[in-house]
Amino acid sequence: MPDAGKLNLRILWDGKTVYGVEVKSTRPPAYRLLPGRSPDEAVQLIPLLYGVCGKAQRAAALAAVSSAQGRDVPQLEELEQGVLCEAMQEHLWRLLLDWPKLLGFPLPEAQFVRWHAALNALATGHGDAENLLAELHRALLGMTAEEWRRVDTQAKLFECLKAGDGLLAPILKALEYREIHLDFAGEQAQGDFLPRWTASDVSRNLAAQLGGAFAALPQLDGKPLETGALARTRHMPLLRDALRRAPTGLLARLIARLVDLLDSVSARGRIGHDGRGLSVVQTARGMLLHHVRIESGRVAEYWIVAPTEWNFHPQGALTGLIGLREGNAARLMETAQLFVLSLDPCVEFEIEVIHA
Amino acid sequence: MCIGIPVQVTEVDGMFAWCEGRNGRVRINTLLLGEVLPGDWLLTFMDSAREAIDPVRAAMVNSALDALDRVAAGETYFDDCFIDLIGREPRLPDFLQPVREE
Repeated sequence: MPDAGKLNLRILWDGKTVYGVEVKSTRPPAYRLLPGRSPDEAVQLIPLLYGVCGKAQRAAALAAVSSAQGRDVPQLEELEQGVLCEAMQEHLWRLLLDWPKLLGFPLPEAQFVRWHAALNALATGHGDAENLLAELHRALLGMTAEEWRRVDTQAKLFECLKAGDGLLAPILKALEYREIHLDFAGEQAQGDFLPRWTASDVSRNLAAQLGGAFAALPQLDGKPLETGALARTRHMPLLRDALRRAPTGLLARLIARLVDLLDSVSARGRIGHDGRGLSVVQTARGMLLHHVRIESGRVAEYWIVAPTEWNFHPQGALTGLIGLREGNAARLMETAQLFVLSLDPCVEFEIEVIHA
Repeated sequence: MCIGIPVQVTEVDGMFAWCEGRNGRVRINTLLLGEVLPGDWLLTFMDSAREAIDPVRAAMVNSALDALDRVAAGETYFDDCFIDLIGREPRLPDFLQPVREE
């Protein structure tokens, strides 16, 4: 088994309609390495374990540990820019490499590499963020930032895209086409979203439940919730309109990712006392939560609740596939891939269609 | 939680590289890094290189992942994986010394 573990989605299908989904995770609970370490060791170890979103993980660890210790950490301000750039890089990876590949479009690799490097520079205080954002608006959407800000309905979005030559125009159109042709038996229920919580909100609502079982299968009042760009932006008129048109949310999640990228929103918070610390960092995939309890100078408890655990909860957003009417197994597989990519897993994913 | 896996380049193949790592021989997309050379260490995620790293960091990540494997196997003792973590010059495992250069 690879170290990073895997998510496995089994789609139960009777040849015409999806009647069930099962999600299994073999992701190792890496936070179990932390009890018994010193707080400094924990802060060093976490980014080694989570090398890819290392900046967000490091910021979350540092914030949780320092608030448990009741001390200020000036590096957190510096880390913030890095966390933001890392989230933008993750969004660009999905938008420019993964989505075009899945939908059969050419990959704008050269632009991706250039923007990725520009964001690395910005993370260390070099380069011009305004210029980069203006270029991203123009290249991705064929719009100015001002034009993009005025887009408040899906119809207006496609009208503006038609007028320009944005790299993402064919992808957004293809996904819209695929989504409106999905046929569901019965009404499609809208899933529930994780609110845009601060560390205090998280502490108030979730602290009593924090533990290994919660970290593996997080939920609130028995309901799994979706976190990520759509959860953060769903109240905006454009996203409300997209969700009203297609509650499955495939296109809405892609648009939300764009909003997140171009409006470059970041939020970090922390709260702590009496040896307990809790931190919240908004990442490209959603809310990352760290919780630590320090006792006699050692980590006594450490829990990490990552966005993938919310978004791929067995009773969560992927149950949106249930009721899908599809007679062709290959097309069903393609649709399932769209669902999975729209939810943006941070581990390898395996999909099986079980015909029974 | 995106766990990155360190691998060492053995053979460059256009925009890809054949690499050796803890999961054996793998083909890695190196688009993001541009030119890589045999002997280079890469931090990879889902078959793509995310970052070029030095051999010391590769060894530290591998130690952390060794501990993770042992957690996954139900073990509770893994302190020996972290001997090099704090306040010392990390020691490379034998198989990494010396780093191959071509």
